[in-house]
Amino acid sequence: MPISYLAKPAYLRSHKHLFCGSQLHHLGLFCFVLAWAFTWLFPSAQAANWSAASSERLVKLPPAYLAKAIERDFSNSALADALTDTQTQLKNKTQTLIDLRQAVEQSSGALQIELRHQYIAEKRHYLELLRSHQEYRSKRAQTKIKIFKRLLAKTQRAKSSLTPQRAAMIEKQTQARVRFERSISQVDTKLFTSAMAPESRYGKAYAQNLSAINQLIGAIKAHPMSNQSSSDQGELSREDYIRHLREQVEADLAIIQQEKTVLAYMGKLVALDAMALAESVNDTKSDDQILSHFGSSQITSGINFFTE
Amino acid sequence: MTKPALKYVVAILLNIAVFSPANADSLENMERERAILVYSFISPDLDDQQRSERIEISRNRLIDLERLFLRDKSLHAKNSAHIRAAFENYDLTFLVHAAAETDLLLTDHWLDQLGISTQSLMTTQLGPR
Repeated sequence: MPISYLAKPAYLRSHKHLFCGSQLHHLGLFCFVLAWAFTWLFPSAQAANWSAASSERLVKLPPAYLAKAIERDFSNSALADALTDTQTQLKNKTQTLIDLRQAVEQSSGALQIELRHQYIAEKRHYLELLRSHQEYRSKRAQTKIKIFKRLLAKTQRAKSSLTPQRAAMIEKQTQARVRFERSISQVDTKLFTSAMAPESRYGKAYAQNLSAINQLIGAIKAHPMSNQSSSDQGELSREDYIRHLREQVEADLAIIQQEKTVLAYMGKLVALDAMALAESVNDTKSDDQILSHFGSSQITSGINFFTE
Repeated sequence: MTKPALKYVVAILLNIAVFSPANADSLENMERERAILVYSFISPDLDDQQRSERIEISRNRLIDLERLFLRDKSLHAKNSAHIRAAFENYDLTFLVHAAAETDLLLTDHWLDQLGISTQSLMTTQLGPR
């Protein structure tokens, strides 16, 4: 045994046996293949995600801008890209289905059977796209619900942190300020009318700034964007408004659940179509049924492809 | 510690003391000025002229200090005994504004709030405590 080998510490010697160069190379290759296979098999699982915006930032926003900020955050996410992409693909697929249906109508014999086969295959792809579209919409709705839940929890936590003692003190402060504001003009008249007590530098600067602030508040109230946001929100409090947004998203989620049932029925019809085609090919009979209607990429408008 | 190192430490401490912003509490300033005003009310060392001048100076200062304290929004976050006590009695804490509201002289308003009137003074009797 060489002396240099003996001089090495035990952990180094054992590593040499565990991972020699070729083994490490194989392990790296295996990991790479595994990662590539995962990306290829589940492209949406990796790419189409939307990590919710931080609720610390959102909780500070005025309620009217909350929904807009969440939508803006979503539009910058990979999930929004995937949703737009699927919508485009659905539109294109609808056009393909329309073309194929026309081709089926105009053909006969073996060519018609071939075209019907293609038509069924395209319908299957269309259903896959619809399923992805529903998944993305469902993901978006669930993330939004999560955000609203977190925001509500934060708002309620801030409320509960107010102890009765502190609430009483704030109440007293408010009462004192109300009394002060109510009597300030009367006090000013009495205190500053005499030549002995001219208004101080602080008093003059404060009055100037207050007038500027009032002008700015007036401009903010008169701003068209301000009017728009207040009319969107109505007379709701911050908490109620968040609850209202959450209810809207939950309604969307319920619609998506219902659409999933529609999708399942569409899939069943495609399977039945495929069975009918197989039977007609076996019986060497031509199918006289010709499909006549078509629609857009909306789920209910696509029903015509499946019901006939 | 060596002498040059000690010099640097002293210099740094002096810099901190000189250039750090004054963090004076708005309540503390108001209380200090009100204490001066109350001293002017009751000090036996002042003649009428001096008392009147001092009360006038304190009154002018207190107008701003009371307003600064009432407009201090950071008070909502604080829940100290001092602030709670300050808001317990508006008429005694905001002496100048409350006196102007009631249309009384500062001294009269202060004595009135403490429950001391000419009548109560006249009915007092000397005796062992």
